[in-house]
Amino acid sequence: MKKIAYVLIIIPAILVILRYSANDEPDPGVITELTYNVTYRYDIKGGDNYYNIESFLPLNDFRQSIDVAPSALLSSDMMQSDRDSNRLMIWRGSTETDTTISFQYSVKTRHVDFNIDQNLKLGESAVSEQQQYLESSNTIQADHPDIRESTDRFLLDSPDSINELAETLFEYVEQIPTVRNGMATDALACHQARACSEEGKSRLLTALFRSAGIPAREAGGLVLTDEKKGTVDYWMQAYIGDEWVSFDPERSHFAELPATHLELFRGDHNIVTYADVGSINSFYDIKRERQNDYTSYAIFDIWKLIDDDRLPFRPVMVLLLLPLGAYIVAISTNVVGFKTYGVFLPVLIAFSFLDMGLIQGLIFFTVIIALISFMSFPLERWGILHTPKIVCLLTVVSLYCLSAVEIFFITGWVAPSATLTFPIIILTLISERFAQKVEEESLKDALFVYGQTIIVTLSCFWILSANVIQHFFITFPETLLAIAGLSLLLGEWIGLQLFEYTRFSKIDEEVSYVK
Amino acid sequence: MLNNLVNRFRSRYKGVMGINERNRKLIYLFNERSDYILADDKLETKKVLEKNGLNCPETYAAIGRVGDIKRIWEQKRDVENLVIKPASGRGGNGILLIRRRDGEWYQGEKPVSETQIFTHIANIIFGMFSGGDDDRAILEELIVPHPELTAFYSGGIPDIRLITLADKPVMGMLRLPTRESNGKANLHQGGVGVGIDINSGTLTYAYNGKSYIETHPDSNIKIPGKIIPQWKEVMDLAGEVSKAFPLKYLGIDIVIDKNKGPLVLEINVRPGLSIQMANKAGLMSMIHATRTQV
Repeated sequence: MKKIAYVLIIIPAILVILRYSANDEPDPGVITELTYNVTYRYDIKGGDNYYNIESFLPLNDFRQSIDVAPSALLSSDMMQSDRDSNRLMIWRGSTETDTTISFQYSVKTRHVDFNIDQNLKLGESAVSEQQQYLESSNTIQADHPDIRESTDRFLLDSPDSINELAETLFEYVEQIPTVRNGMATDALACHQARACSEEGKSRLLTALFRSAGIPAREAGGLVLTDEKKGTVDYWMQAYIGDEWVSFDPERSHFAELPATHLELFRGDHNIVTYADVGSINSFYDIKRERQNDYTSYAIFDIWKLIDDDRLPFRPVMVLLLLPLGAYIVAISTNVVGFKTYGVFLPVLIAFSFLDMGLIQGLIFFTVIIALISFMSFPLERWGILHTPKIVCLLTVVSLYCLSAVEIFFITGWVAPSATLTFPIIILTLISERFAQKVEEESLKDALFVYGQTIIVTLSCFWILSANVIQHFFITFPETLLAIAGLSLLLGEWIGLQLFEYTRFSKIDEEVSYVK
Repeated sequence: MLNNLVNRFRSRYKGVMGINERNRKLIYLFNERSDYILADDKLETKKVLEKNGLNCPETYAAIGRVGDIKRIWEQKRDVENLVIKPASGRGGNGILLIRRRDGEWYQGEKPVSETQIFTHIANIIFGMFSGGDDDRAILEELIVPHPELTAFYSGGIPDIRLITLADKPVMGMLRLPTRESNGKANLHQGGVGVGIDINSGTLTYAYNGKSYIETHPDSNIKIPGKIIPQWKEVMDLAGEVSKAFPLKYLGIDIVIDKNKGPLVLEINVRPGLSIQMANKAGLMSMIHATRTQV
């Protein structure tokens, strides 16, 4: 038996080492270039025959290269144009009903660091041809007395060096708290309220640069993560030493533009403008194109299957990580001595926390447990039979889930793209186990096991949420064999559990009549 | 120095059995999975016991259908006191002890209506105490425990847990109910576990789940040193029971009835490990000790 276990562990180890050494790819930790597929989607509601929608197509430059399928550009209802040296796309057409416009391209991006010359002094930069980027506007009030006064104060601190001034301005805007909804978005309001939207912050930084005599402009785009967004992101650029240097006060990038930033437009624009339309819903669906860096000797390449859309990412990840999670539970129960609700439940709860977010999931879960605890008292007093009682509990849990989902979406605590079906099923499943425990033992026992389940769940969550581990298992699925081998070894281990040492610590065999 | 510490630590826990070792070395090795039913279903247990002429409380009826509750209950009208328990219950849950006084039923001092009794039986059948699976309710004789054992505390039924390995008792524990445990004898519900020198039936150490005590918390009667009545019969019964079952590692629960003497209450294929606390001895060392005696 032991031999089989060792073989199961050694085979994948050899494969991983073989594949690792046979592919001399760059260290995956240092990603310099990323490929993403971006899809714009505009849902037009209440169109009356004619619509006109404008949006931006990113520029090709040294740090981002855009690849659009030629057929997409030849579409009859779309035209291309320029606006403020950005690439504008215009869709015009007529429709009787609600309709959807979508547009897709793939993009490769690269990280860029800008070097600001430490010795560069104010007034030394050539600014004459950038005159338009020094002017004040309705949203970037560079010559408003309040903004001027602040700039003057900052100029006193760093009188000559552009680099120092840029740092001071950046730090000032960076520490302004960001508020997502309903807050002012222009520079002056942001300056006065000391809290504003992401766009407001980039406008304020632009205004401050301009009032200090440095040309500056807003920039908008998408921060590339695997998700579906409803809005775009904002940062800005300042013209320093003959080049446009990027600053992102929202995500703390000073004089650098990470590979995750896809620039869609420069200047003070809206990503989408429309006319003759009731309303539109816009979505930006971003998908990372992954590549398997270790293709040689791969028995099957899961990355490729995911990229080809032959396997969905999420269920594959759950399947690959389920054994690891269950193994963590096995260690917690057999070696440490934790008691949990089932072997798989802590792993499944951990997965649902991955979907919902840790804090949101914990709150959601704890409220369910609290509800069942409170309800168990009257139900027990009334002597309700077991199965109807569980149905009754589940009904309340369902009602709670419905209102919780509503609250999640209104407050934005959980990303709208998160699929909540899986978490809800798992968490209601738990509620049955919990109710049963309350009934068969006591509320105290049930809560005690709940506490231990949470501890084990958190350790699962901590390990399973690590990107490194997720990618490792997708890249090297053969590791699953090793988990089987390790489980065989664990199944043979008969030592005392950690908790048993304290439990049995009072037994002192020497006083026993048996020697 | 560190080595010394590790060795002392190891030897201290050497004979103590943990749950992993118990499962692999005793349960999996001595008990066939397919025989578990003989212990897990109390009606099956009773069948084997009765077939071998081994004493156990008399069964009045078994009810497996909700529709039968009323009819069977009517047939047993003349019974004065009884125990209602699930055939596949776990951890002593779902056991109802009732007595009749002046035509009314009482659970201890609390009056119980027939409707409440019927609901309890229905709950048993619906699987409330057997993890949701359908179950049967057993109606059986309520035993009257031996006065020497109820002297510690009169509010419940004290029982003796004997661990047998290959037809030989290796370790024993007397479980005493307390007011805190609500008349139940389970250690984790507040009962007191008392170690037994199985050669003589002498009580050794009393453990209340947290610490060792000298006297019963309710009556203040000293526990260690007392001798269990009819000990030889208890040991013989345990040996016989062990022979009657194909399960070779067992926890046998025995009560001593005032009139009938030792009776088998139930048997358990997964006996708990707290018995080691009550005896201040590891199960493994006790097994070795019994083996060398033979």
